Amino acid sequence: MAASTNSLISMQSRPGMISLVEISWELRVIPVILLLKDSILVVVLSCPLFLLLMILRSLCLDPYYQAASRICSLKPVSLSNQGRSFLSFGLRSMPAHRLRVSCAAKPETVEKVCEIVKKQLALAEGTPVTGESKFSALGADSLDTVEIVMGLEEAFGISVEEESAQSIATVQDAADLIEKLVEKKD
Amino acid sequence: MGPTTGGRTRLSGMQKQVLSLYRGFLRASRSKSPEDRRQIESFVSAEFRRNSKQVDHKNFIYIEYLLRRGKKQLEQLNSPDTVGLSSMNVTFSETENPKN
Repeated sequence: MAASTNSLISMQSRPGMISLVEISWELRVIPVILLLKDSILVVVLSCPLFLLLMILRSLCLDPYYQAASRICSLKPVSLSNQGRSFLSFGLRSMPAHRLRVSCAAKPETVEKVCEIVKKQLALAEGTPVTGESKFSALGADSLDTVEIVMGLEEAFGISVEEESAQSIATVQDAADLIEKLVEKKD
Repeated sequence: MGPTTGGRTRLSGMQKQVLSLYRGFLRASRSKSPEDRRQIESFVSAEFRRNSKQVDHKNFIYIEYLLRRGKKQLEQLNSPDTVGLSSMNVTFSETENPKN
């Protein structure tokens, strides 16, 4: 490469002292450029990337920044939730549930839910079903739970999302969720 | 389905899909006449329970196949042209063939 450029330059330049100096100067610069070619390319190409990152960061869209802020905003929420469930635990002396919302459903709702659960699972008349009854303890599998939730949807004229439907474990859970959804509907 | 005994136990993605499909079938049956609906519900329920007992819970390929087929059948059921009973029988009589 260097040899070919050399011949090119010598062809263009006239013979003489000045041209010789010119050649030697250019010959010194060209290998350096060739050597640094790759690194210069990398710097030039990465410039837009850095710029984009800086712009994103200034717009608070930086992925790292977002992740950090999400963690920060999550912390107080989970803390307050804990505190609330602890409060209900102290007042009503109920088993503390993870993520329990403290708005307790009305007794009528719980009663109605119990009736529907009994009917859906075809339980014997004497079987005690209370707010704390777990569906699994009543002999319901996950398919039964889906049926129960569907039955509740119809009875109360609501629509339960799938994520919340899958988190229901007890009659109380179901009643709380129903109260919330009925309120939202009205 | 399967090893899940409590509502709080973590469900796998596939189990969620199965339950979602079941929910879809029950929802679809609501749009049919009461008589058809009762029949559809008992049929679908029996089918899901039968498969949950018979199919090996680790046989993911077969479960995936059943899921895909169930989704197609649900699409058919969801179309208003499907009035219920007769087409349901056709849909599910097919279901039994590859099993036995």
